[in-house]
Amino acid sequence: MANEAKLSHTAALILQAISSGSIYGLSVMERTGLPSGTVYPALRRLERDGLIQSQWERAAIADAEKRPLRKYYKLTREGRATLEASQKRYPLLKKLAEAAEVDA
Amino acid sequence: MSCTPRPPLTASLLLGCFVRLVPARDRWEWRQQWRSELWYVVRESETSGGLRAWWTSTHFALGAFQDAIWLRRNAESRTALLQSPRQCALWLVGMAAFCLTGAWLLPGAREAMTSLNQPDARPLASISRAGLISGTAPTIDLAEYQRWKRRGHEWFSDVAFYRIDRLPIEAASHRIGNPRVAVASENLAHLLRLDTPDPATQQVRANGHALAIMPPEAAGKLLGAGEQTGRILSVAGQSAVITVTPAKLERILPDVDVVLLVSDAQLSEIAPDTQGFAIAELTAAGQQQGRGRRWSFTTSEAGENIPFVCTPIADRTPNPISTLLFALFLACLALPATTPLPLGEYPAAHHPRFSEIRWRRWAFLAMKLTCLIAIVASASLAVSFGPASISVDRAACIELFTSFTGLLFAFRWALRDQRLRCPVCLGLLSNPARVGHPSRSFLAWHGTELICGKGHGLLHVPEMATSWFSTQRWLALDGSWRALFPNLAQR
Repeated sequence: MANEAKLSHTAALILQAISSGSIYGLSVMERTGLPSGTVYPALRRLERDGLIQSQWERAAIADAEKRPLRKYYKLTREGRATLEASQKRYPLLKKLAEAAEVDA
Repeated sequence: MSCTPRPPLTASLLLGCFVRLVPARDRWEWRQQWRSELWYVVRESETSGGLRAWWTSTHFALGAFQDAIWLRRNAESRTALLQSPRQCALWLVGMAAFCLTGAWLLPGAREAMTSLNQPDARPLASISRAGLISGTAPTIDLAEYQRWKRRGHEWFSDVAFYRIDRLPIEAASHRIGNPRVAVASENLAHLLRLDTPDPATQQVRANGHALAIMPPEAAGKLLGAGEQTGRILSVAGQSAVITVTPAKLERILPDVDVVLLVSDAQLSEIAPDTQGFAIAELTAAGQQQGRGRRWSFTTSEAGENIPFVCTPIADRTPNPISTLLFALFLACLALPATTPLPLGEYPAAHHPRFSEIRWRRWAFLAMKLTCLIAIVASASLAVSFGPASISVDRAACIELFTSFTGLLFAFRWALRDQRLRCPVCLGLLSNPARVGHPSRSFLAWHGTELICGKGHGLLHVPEMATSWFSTQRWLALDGSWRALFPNLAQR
């Protein structure tokens, strides 16, 4: 874990959303209900702190589906450990995860 | 790539503007990501159609502003400079030392700071007839001055007379203009503590020449560059030897280019009813009488009582310290209009080191304010009194304006900075996150949440003050949070 602590409630919520399968910015917004002005800076911060990592999808896939490239996010090992710790502090996070499973 | 969904013009324009805020190295990727995401937003909102679709995409694009600002701030690492209290204190003390040194190196500013070379170091006062504003119009007859000189006066140990007029000046039979000349009695130089002329000038003067004292600016303007001391001038037909003095004559003789010192015998050649100005050095009794303020006295002449007003010279000279204190007062009055004064609620009374923590917070704020006052004061003195060409009155106005503006913004920054610091470690809080929506202010919480990097707690800043949440509130985290904050051990 980086030296700086990362987990406000919002950050934990976003980590949980990514863990639940919302792997790009817009889907994180939809799942958490947070506005774009909160989600995208938070994603950059989490990436800077090593809790998530981003990757542009392959151009061939996007071209085949005739849509622009997306930037996908996934949890790192540190991010996963941090999320587990924060789930103990924020029990409601688990409800978000359960809701995700129901949606799926 | 499909281009089917076209984003609204407003959203595209917003992204085009905000991308300018992003550091150049991140700009391309930032633009790609936001345009891509906007494409999906537009596609998903197409079904809602019309105004709603427009608003959804525009609202989404507005969020790009905070993202761009975040990237910019992190790239500049501006906050890192003031992140810890130690860094902040070092930076402020360094800036204060730099500004004070800079002001000290400027002769004008140094003189204003020390006030060592002020002619009013002596207990001087201007004398004028009662009922007239002192210093603006000549009110003293030459005959009155001569009577005071002859008989002496209980309030004055010495008195000097001068009148101001535009007189023609010639140098080497070449006319160089009609500057403002103060024709003064010889003892004016003594009263104003002007430099004694060098021996060569005194020798020339012994041959019957008057002494023409000129400030460097006037000498340069009238006679050109180069050494002027010792040159012979003709002032209104009277020959005079020049001495250039750096002393600030303008404090007492504003807008005078030349002070022509003549003997009392030469002065008596003027008509006795010629009106001019009088400056007196007060006796101990005179100082006691006025105690630094205007006061009046009367003299009796031919059975008639003539009232006079005695105005201490210091009253006429803008004092840089007084100006600064006045600016400080004005800034304190205006401060609540620019930022809230409360520093927030910090319910940390249960903390084992509560007293020490509270003392440190206030000491840190006091240190910041002290350094900021030193920075603003020295900078405003350097700006206002540094340039030699600025008159004293104008310099005082500039000082008042710059110090008021500087203090206002400095205090505003100090309060805002203090509110964004952890009350325990005094480090700047980080990771601001907006929570909630404005429309839900009555039923839920809406504002910004910041966190201490060392895990001391969370700060909730309401976006809108309500009766139940009027100011920012600190939530201290106890030891049970240790698992999330490895640095918690450092508290």
